[in-house]
Amino acid sequence: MQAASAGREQTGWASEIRALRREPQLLLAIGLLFLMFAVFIIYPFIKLILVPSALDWALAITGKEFQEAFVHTLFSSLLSTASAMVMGFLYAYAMNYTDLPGRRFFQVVALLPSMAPTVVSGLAFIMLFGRRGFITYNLLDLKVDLYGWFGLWVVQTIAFFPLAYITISGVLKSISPNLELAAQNLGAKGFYLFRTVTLRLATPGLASAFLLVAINSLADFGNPMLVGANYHVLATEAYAQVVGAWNLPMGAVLSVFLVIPTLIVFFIQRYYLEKNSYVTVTGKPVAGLTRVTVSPAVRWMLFAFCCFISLSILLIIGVVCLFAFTRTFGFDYTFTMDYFIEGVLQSSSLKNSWMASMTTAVFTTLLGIALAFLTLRRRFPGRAVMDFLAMLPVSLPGTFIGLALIMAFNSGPLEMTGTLVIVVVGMTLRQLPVGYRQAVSGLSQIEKSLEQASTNLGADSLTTFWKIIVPMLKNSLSVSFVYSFMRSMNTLSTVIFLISPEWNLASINIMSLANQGFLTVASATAVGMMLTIFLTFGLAKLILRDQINIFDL
Amino acid sequence: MNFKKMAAAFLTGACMLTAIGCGGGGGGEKPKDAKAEQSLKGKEVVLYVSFHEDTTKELAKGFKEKTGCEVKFIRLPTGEAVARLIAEKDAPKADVWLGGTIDAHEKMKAEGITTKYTSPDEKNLPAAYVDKDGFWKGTYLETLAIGVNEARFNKEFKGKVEMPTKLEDLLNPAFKGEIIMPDPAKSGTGSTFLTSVVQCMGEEKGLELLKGIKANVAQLTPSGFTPAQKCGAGEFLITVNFLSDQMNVSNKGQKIISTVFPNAGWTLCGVSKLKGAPHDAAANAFIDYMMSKEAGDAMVKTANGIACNPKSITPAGSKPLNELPLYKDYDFAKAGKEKDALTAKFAGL
Repeated sequence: MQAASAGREQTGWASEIRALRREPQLLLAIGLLFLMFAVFIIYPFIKLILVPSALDWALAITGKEFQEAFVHTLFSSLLSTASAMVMGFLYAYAMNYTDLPGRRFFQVVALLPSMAPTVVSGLAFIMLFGRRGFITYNLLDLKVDLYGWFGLWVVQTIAFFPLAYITISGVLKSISPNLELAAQNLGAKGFYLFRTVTLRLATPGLASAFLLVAINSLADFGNPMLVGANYHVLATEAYAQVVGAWNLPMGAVLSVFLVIPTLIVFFIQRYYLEKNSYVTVTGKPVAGLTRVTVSPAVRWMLFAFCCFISLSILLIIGVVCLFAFTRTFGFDYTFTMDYFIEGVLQSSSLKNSWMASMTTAVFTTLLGIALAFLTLRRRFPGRAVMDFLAMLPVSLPGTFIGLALIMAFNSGPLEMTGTLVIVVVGMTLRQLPVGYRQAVSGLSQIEKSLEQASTNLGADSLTTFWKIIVPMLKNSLSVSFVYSFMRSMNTLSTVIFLISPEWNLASINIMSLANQGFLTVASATAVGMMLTIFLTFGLAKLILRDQINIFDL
Repeated sequence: MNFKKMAAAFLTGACMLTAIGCGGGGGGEKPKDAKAEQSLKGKEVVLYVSFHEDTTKELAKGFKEKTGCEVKFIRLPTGEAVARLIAEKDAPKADVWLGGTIDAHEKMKAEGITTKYTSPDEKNLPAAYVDKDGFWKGTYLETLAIGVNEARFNKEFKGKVEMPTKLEDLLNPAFKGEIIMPDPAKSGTGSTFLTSVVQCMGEEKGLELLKGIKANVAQLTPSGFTPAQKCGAGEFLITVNFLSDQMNVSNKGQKIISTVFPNAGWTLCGVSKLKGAPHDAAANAFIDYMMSKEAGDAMVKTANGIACNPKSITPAGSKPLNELPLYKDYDFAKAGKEKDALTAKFAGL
């Protein structure tokens, strides 16, 4: 019946299908993408949910230690998300709404921590403020034990500050200064202007940023392991169940528990916030209009704040370098290359990380743009489903993805465990939403008429895609490439279950070395990681010059 | 669903976070040139090894010098080796599984993966360190010990409290927040501690003692090795874990005073022949070699373990095997059965 009525309309399913039939290549591409989603997202997740028995579920729900871990997870991640957001907002506000001296410096420094795994901030924290920390013990001779929720809070705030800053900065940039200038002309100023215009306009974007940071910190693995100590959270507990207690079904249950809050967050973000978005649509700031809306006192307070944050970040990176290249920092300051040789030069893990991350970056960028092109510019049945599936992984904690993949692909025709392939699949799934999101926003800013002209001149979808879309999206492409490369190099939770003796990764090495107490080699590996990322970007910039956009995230 | 195989992939993480019972570090010295028989020249033997790399290389070299046989090996942590052995049950790729704690060797015996082999050299070993049914043989022994950071003890505690040498000493309130030990639920070292204390003292008294100690413990770690490292660094004063781990840290310069406490729990690192081993004669010869004094010496030097062969050297700073106050009646099989119930009880203390 529906088919019959649709036959008469021009926009129904039937006409969409008829249009597809004229372009077999397009049909093939759509089919392949759906097959990919089915194999790598839907199938593993069903498998994961089917593993635990009813008894496991009951045990997990009634078990006191698991309830405790659940509460800890929510409490600690919401707390550190809130503080990271406040700091990120102040920093981003200072960068976008003032003309502070040294803004370029502040901008670069804020991005530095994202070049290393979040666990590096925990590592630096232990080295500086731990029970034998350089500051707490060597300098101040204090007897403190900051392992536990407090230390975790401090560390996670620093660890997630860059993410909060980057997202909030994006939100603030997208607010048109016209509205604020208009309000200023009408007499609003100071805090009143901030509260009634800026904050009002930024709220939906801020809420989205909050949720993004929250999802990441809910699933974070390294710092709870390293700094949380006896303060167990779901991510570490799921890992311990699988690896320590040999209880895979329980690990699966706990990772499902972790998905519940993140999925709720995802749906709120997607179906509530996006519909109530106040963000002005003109997009980029209007050239020539600079907004200076803060009083001198506030300006200097912000300056002091930015200095404090930047110094903290430089302190973290500094102490990691010092530990990496001195024999025993705090006791023996002899320069040594031993740790760097052991952790970086003699270890194949950095090379593995680089290879996997590069492949991932290529895949996510291409897949992202292909998906964006299809969902935005082509009409076919199941478009909304495709859009949903491409964004879904953003809400899935890394441990969940890792466990699901390993259960799905440990046997059968697609046996991939113990290879680098499964690592790349995991990373790609995790980064896909970034590539997709980036491509969607890039594509939305491009006029359709160019593509239509291409089509009118006889080009099919594939030709249009390669000849028109890809070159025009150069900028968004390079951003998602850089971003997914960096995130993949640094990811921990996604790959912890996927690595094998032959295919160990540098981020895991840093965490496990630090966790066993080998702070020096862990530091050296972290330095090697940052150097690798810098060198890669430097090289890319040298070769591609203006073809790639790296440092302007 | 094939859980075992799946577990193989997980255990890579485990190998780094959960220190494998039978592993070690330290520098390797060259073994004395053995009288070469070279009877297996041109042959090869394939091993799955759960020792550290340098120990394995040292043993492979010694065996080759003695017999002329080539040694091929893949290094796998205990849990992962188990997973792989089970997966390959019908067509084993290796001849011998070397290393790995005895509870895992017991499991392989029960699964029908390993096979009987009576070595002419097993008479070198005390009877307790050889399987009564002839499946596994012990190579070296890991014993629990109380480790104390020497520098910190001398600076902060000397004169005020006695150096702790037995478990009851750990109940002293002066040590509150200064003890670190592995979590029995997550680490083999931790579960060896828990089950041996309970077996030796009986459940009620054992758990009572552990409850008191737990109140003083600052951190329960998922890895058996971490406590030694953090004690060596001075973060914590006292560690309770395997002696060899403490000595590995101590020998690198961060001095730990280790005491094997009375009735200390222990475990063996075993060697077993695999059923259907492709290279039968070489496998037997390798197991014979593992019972020798030279092999014992190599393990002591590279891993700081205590060799099961009493003629082998003792690690520097440790007493000979027969002088250690070990809990002689420790029952591996019983410990394995009770482990889950006991770890749950310990968590609730």
